[in-house]
Amino acid sequence: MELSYDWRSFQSVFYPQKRSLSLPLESQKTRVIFAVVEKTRVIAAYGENEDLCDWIGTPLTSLKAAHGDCEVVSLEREDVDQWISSAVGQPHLYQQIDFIRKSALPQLEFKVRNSLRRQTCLAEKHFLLDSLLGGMGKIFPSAYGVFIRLEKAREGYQPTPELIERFGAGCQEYLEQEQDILILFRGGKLEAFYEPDLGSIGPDRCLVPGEVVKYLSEKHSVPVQGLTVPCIEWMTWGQAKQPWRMVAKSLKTKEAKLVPFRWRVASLLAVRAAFEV
Amino acid sequence: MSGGEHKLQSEQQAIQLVVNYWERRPRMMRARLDELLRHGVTHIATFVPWQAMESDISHTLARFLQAVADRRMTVSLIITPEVGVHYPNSGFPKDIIQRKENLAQHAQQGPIAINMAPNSFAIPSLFAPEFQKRYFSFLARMDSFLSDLGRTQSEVLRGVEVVVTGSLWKYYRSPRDSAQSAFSGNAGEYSTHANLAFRQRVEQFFAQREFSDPNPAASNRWKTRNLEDTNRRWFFQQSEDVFRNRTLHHLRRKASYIRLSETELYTPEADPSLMYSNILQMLSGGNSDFFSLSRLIDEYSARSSMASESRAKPYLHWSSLGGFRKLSDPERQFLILKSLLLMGGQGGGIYIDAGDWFALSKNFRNRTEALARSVASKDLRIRTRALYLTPHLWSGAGSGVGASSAAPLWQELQDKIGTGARLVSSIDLVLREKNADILVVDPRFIFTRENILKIIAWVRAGKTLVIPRNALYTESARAELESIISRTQRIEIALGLPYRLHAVGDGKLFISEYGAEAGMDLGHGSGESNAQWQSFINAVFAVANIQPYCKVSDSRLAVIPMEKRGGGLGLFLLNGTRRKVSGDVIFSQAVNVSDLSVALSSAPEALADNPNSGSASRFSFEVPACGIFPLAVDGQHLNDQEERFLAAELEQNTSAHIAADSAKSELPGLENSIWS
Repeated sequence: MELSYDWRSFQSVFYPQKRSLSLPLESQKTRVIFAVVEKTRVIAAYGENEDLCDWIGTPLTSLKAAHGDCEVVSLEREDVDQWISSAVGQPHLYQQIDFIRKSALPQLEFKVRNSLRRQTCLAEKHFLLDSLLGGMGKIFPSAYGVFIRLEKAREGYQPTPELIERFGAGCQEYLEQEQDILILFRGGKLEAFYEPDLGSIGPDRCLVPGEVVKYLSEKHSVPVQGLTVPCIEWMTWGQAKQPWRMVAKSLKTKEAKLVPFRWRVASLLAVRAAFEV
Repeated sequence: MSGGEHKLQSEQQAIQLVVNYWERRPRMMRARLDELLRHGVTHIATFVPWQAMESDISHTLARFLQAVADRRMTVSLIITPEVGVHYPNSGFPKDIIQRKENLAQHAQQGPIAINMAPNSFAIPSLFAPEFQKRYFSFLARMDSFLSDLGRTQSEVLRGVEVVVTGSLWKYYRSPRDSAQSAFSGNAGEYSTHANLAFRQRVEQFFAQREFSDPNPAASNRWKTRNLEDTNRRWFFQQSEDVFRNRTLHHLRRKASYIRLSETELYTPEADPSLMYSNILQMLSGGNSDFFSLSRLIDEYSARSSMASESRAKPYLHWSSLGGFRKLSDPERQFLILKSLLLMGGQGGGIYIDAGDWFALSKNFRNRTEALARSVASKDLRIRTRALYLTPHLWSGAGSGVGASSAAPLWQELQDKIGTGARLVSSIDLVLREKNADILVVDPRFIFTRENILKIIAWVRAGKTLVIPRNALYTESARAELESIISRTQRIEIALGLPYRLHAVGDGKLFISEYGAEAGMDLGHGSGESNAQWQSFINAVFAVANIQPYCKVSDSRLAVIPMEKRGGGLGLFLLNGTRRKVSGDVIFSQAVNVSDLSVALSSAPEALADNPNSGSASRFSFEVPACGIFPLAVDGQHLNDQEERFLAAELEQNTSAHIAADSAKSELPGLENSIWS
């Protein structure tokens, strides 16, 4: 049996676990407290690394007054219930969260202090999914797949102190980690994600990314673009401010490879990297 | 997680690794099992999603069981419906949960959504006829599957245990009410199907002769609107018990020889109390609410549910499909250890995905496995010292909307003895709790004559019972109670919370004014009323002659005291904050404190001779962030525990032998069965 929504694989590739204890509150730059309210009373409150249990049942104004140094973003309970009920119709959690994000967007904006700028306190999406489900997806076929093979770091690879500091205990794990994932898109939506079963193509062909991509493309009757990259590199991209530049650089230095190499895809990535802000 | 061969090991497993058979193809699964075997894992657990079983045309489960048997491993098959299963809709058939009329409703008439991967969905009503029909046919299919397998390949079933859980009942709670305190408010299911079943059951229940006493019209007083909440509570509890029994019955129709285990499985990540918090965390992309998860473990461990014949073993499932995965390593380790102590100390344990387990550091795993062995072999166990009998286990006994007027009593019990206080909803379970010394009964509990007789028999053995004066007694129950207490000596106290104290046999009976009206008069939450509840509970504890093992000077620290085989305590000092905390542990008498791991591996005589251990009643500690300190505490006043350990073991062995002997005499050929 192959799970269409293999959430564990999906999470470990796109949203790796945090390993070290979160920073104490004072050291965080921007603090946002979220609250679900009903008739101005707090029903639920959430702030990263904060225990806000004592504020439940109190007026929202008290919560705001006590946390004057943070932004307090409030959502009406009825709205939240409505979003959750509507989101249940979506096929999987990624799309369900995306639906709620879009619904809640206007209420999740707040004005940045001493500035005319408005900021949205939403979680950042993974750069690849964001692009493929956004602008980049529009120029791709209506149905296609992306096969990502995360590999061990090459022999003799030494992580920089910066990487060790960034990933902590996970750094060694990423150096050793190997994982495959296939993500399928249809009609601009994420249709399925799972670790493909390659048992039927034999152990030798299984090691050749080109053969795997060919097999998956035939199996699902959609074009599949493969990408092989060392896991540590992939994780670094995921945390970078300008990930596309790093992707382009890795492709250039052959740390990462497109399988098969398609000029149009490579050019698109280069353009994306060049215009990255 | 390792051990001998050919032996069902789940009983000795406080940590069970979850390896779901449907997540991988059989070929990949075999490789996974080999890998686990190399790590020394010989027992695993797997969920059997309802939908997966119904559509298992390639016999994946049979092949999986064969692969497990080939490796001489053992497996627990956890029968769903459960939440937190890595399967679309947690294994519920899509067509069932897509129909609105099949969905459950909480007390505020809204659906109950479970926001966990792989998809968020609304849970169905266990009262819906369509659900029941389909579910019991799934159980029949499971039963046939196991019996066929037993007939054709009996060796495959040798290491298989079927686990029946408490299912969805505890999740029927309103996210709004439970956000402040997980079990506050009225729990239960309020869909049309549930309401219909409730009305029918109320009519049947109060048609019993006892409620029609002194005349048939008397039964109407039990059906008034004032008692609606009370009636719903016992109705939900009864429905849950009936559902559990029916599940067992269906699974034992053909495969009667299969080993069944009844557990109460908690999945904190799916708890309705965290629903809004989870949504906010998903939107913001932040860490999970570690503090709420930690508090939930306390709430779960304070409840003890009754299985068909004995207490359901409490297990906690860290699925990583919700907030647990978003925590840092120290936070995850803290929660794993805490849940292991609280659930394992009561004969249960934890379920955790094998991948998540091996992602933790080896040092941590080794230490935790050693601890798991100690709790599984009952070298360390939590003693239940006081019970609170409530009509519904999942409704509010704590503070909040819909809580009973005796809520402060439960709160006081918890404050006084912490993990030693337990909420129960069955008198039979009270009778089985030999170590508990105090029983407090909720004013919403309905006393029948039979209940009074059972409970008084329990008190006569030297226990202390606290019951409300204005409770819901049937006429015959009231007459029986009056007749019992009329023959006893009594003391009447009118100060604070008024009560009468009676000597019943070797035990004591408190009859007090904490019914609905009295509770309102006292006014919850005010300083004066809290002092009254407190002084009342102090009086109860003084009469029962029990006192807390120790206190901590800093409220950020918590303790889990566990009785140690051979006498003394295993004391775990927990710091559930993100900063290191210094504090003192204060004992009522002088004790010796030492390293628990050394104490567990040494003979008691060796410890007594230890010249380094200094005797004192106050000890200072500095506990790191998310840290747990294991300590061994020995003292003269803690040595009576060995007798209790021996008595408990004797009782357990006696019950087991009686059951085995009866089975042998009733079931010819049992000795030659595959289990011998």
